[in-house]
Amino acid sequence: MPMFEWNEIKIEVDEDGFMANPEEWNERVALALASTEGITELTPDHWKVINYLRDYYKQYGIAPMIRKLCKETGFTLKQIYDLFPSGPAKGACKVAGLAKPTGCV
Amino acid sequence: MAEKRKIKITDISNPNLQPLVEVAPTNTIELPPPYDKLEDLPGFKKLSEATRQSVDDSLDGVVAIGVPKPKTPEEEQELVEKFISGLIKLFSKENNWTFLQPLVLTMEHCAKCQTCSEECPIFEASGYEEIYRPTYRAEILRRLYFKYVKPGSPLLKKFQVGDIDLNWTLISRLVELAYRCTICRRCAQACPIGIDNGLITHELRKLFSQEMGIAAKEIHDKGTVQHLLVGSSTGMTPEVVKDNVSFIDEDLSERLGIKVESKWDIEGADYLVLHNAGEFLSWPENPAAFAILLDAAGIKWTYSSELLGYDGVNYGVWYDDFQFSRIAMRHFEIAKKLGVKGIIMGECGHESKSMAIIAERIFGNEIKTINTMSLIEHIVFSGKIKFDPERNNFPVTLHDPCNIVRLMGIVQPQRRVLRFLAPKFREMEPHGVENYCCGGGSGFAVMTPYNFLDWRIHISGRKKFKQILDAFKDEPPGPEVPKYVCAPCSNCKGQIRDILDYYGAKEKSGIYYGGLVELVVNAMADLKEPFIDFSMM
Amino acid sequence: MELIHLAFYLGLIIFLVIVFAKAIKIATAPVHLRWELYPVAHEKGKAHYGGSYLEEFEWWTKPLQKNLLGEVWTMFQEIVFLKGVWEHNRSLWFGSAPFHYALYLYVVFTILTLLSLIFGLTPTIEGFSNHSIIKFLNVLLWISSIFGIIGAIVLFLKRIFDSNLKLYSNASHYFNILLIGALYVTSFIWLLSSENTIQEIFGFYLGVFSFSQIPSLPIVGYIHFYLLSFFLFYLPFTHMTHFFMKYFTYHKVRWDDEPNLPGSKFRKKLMEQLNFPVQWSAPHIGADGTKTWLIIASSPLPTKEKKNG
Ligand code: SF4
Ligand code: SF4
Repeated sequence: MPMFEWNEIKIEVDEDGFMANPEEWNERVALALASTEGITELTPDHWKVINYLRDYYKQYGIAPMIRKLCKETGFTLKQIYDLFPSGPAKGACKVAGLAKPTGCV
Repeated sequence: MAEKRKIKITDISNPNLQPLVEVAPTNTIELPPPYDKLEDLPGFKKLSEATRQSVDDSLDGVVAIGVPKPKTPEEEQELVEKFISGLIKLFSKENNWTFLQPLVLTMEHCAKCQTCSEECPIFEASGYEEIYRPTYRAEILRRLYFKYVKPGSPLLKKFQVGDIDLNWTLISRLVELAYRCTICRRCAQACPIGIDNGLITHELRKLFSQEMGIAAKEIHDKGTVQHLLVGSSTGMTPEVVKDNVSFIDEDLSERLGIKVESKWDIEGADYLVLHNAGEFLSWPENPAAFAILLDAAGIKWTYSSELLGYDGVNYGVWYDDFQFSRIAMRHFEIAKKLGVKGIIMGECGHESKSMAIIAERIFGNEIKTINTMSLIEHIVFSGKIKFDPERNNFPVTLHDPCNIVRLMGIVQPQRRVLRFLAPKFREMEPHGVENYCCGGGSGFAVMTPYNFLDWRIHISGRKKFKQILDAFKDEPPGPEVPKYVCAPCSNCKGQIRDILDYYGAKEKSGIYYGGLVELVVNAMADLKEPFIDFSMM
Repeated sequence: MELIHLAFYLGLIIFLVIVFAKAIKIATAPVHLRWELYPVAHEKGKAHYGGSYLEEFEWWTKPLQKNLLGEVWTMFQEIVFLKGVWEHNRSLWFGSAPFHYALYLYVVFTILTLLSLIFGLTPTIEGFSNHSIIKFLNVLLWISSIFGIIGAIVLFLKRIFDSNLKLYSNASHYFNILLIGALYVTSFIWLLSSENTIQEIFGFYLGVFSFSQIPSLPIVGYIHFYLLSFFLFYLPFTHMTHFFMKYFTYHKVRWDDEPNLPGSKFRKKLMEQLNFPVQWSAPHIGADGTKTWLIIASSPLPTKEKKNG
């Protein structure tokens, strides 16, 4: 699998740029992954989304429904896209260190 | 664009050509403004050197599967031998009775008249790249079949179909090439002799999966394997899916002011409703609309929370007969155990075809399968529900999922419903059984590795995007008028979403997409709030 | 007996035996899974737009109706007008149509010749060459030869110059066209050079089928029948067997929408197939060469697969 390097960070990512070993995630890694999405700074709004995603993922092992994410964080889908330009699945989940969503989603 | 290098059939085994052809977006299919400028788009993502070192991109610079490169000549030789043994099994009746007859017919009787070529949207969108011609893939397999399987004098066989060198270069390219065709079978429809080059894609994928264990990760590891082990290709366990569904119910009940109530494991229900589980996660309105409609029609239905009982997909149909049968069998067993009369299949093309046609031939039809299109038509015209078509007073066009239309012959029910409930309905051209694939068929819609997403937007999906834009060409071009692409299939929706996102077509042109049942529920006169809310889409 | 007798018998016998054997082989192939492609011509009232019985809600509660005339009509259009090529590959049609028409006419010509012989119209009877059938056959052979030559030339040139076709044309394609073209060239020259071509052809068939002497033919006549004998011998080994395999590609694949109802014809055969032993070697299949298809399909994934799943 390809390695992704950013400043001092060096992690293994899959062919879509998602973390190969989500357990290696930390806040610096989040910043590193965000840079691949054209995000230079993680604001508290970003963190709200990221933290929710991580909590849900820890509990259920998959990413939450988008609708649920919006409802629980209080953001509209559009706001999520503003925060993470490639969207909740391809953008936010990646930065939050989740595995890539699978199935017909 | 630079003049294309002419390739020969035998070039596929030539390791000096790296890649065999260089594929890039083209304007062969012209899009109307503001989508007409190729220069404005990023083009195909460049693969990193590290990626190129580890996986094979030598077919067209695109990677869907990413076969690891063999490390030693011995390993390479071993793989070649494995391929040959798979080839022989593909043509043996014990191992491949499922498709042997059509396969042999296709191998033996193609006249190479190329009547099929023009009909392939991938071949066209690529600017007529030779390797994507429907007959190219088939020709490789044909030569291999003559050389390694069919008895007879080698000299005569060379005279008949020509020669080919089998090496790892050929195999690794053929793996990728087996994932450059959506198995839409438009080519087969045009063939005067009845040859099926789409089937060749299917059979090649089987050879790779069933013998060599090579398949798209999204379809095998994360697809059928996860489906069989966890219960759903989405990774949802029964607990998660129930949690999600109750969230959907609550959310919509709140918004619509009516009670949306999903049912689980009801004994004595008439039907098991089996959606593509991706719907719950990505398009929750769709199953919710089903629940509302079925209840309004007084149908006794239930979901099942058994493993696999809540995910109707069957990715096996794209690449592996055994994975296919395992999943299909589980679905029927679950329905039997529940004691229902039949399964209502959700708006999912490959699920419908898999269950109602392909698995039906193996397992019989003691458990009946009800396809959505005929069910919705039946409900809409039953007189049990009052409709106000004016609620759908926005432009609507219909995408015909290949699996439901060209491959099952379900053409008119959805049209009769739309003509009744969507006053501004208009057809795409061509449509019905001559439709074009969305570009996400045969599993592509769930595949995004490396630069494959770029390929399926620009190459396999381009024709569909043009059809969509053309269908709305008489409407105000901007986003002020919302335009609805009705795509009654989860896979097609995924692909259409990716296309629209890529071009920003929602923002630029107000193009939205969704299923059929949402439009039906949106027209229900008794609902106080409109079901479709464009601001949420 | 002359050499031409033997050549013709050999050609004819090989033709009949191999075509028959191939037809039997494909007809008795295992029942395959459904893989139909719409329009399916026998769907009553629905075929014109490609619909199927699956459009009906609870279709199994209604009688399944097959419109066999629809199949016949579709096949007829395909054979007589070469509809598919006309619609999807117009420029090729102008070569393919005369080429095929020439073959049809030649077959009709030969059948009429044999029938005439059976009904006693032998070349020795009085006024043979003025008989209206003979005049008609003469015209048939002229048209067939001219069409055949035109068709062969167009197809040959297209295969050489059309880049769509060239890449996929092997030695055998050129050979086949030249062989068939030569058949017509010889019949054409024969017609041009002899007043009694039809009479001579009658003489030939009378000779071969009564195992007796053939009245002497012009050289071109001999060449023609040697070519024909070779063609008969050769045809069953080529892709040109599509002339009868088309029955299977259409009826047994494209249009095979037969549901698996209790008591259906193929159920028994299918049961046998489910008990075929499987050899595929990818680990997730879990085959060992003795486990049957059904056992594999009904067993869970082999544990090895679970680890990386
Ligand atoms: S598949 Fe059919 S249409 Fe295509 S080249 Fe072969 S015979 Fe012609
Ligand atoms: S099946 Fe569809 S995508 Fe594949 S070669 Fe035929 S027309 Fe092209």
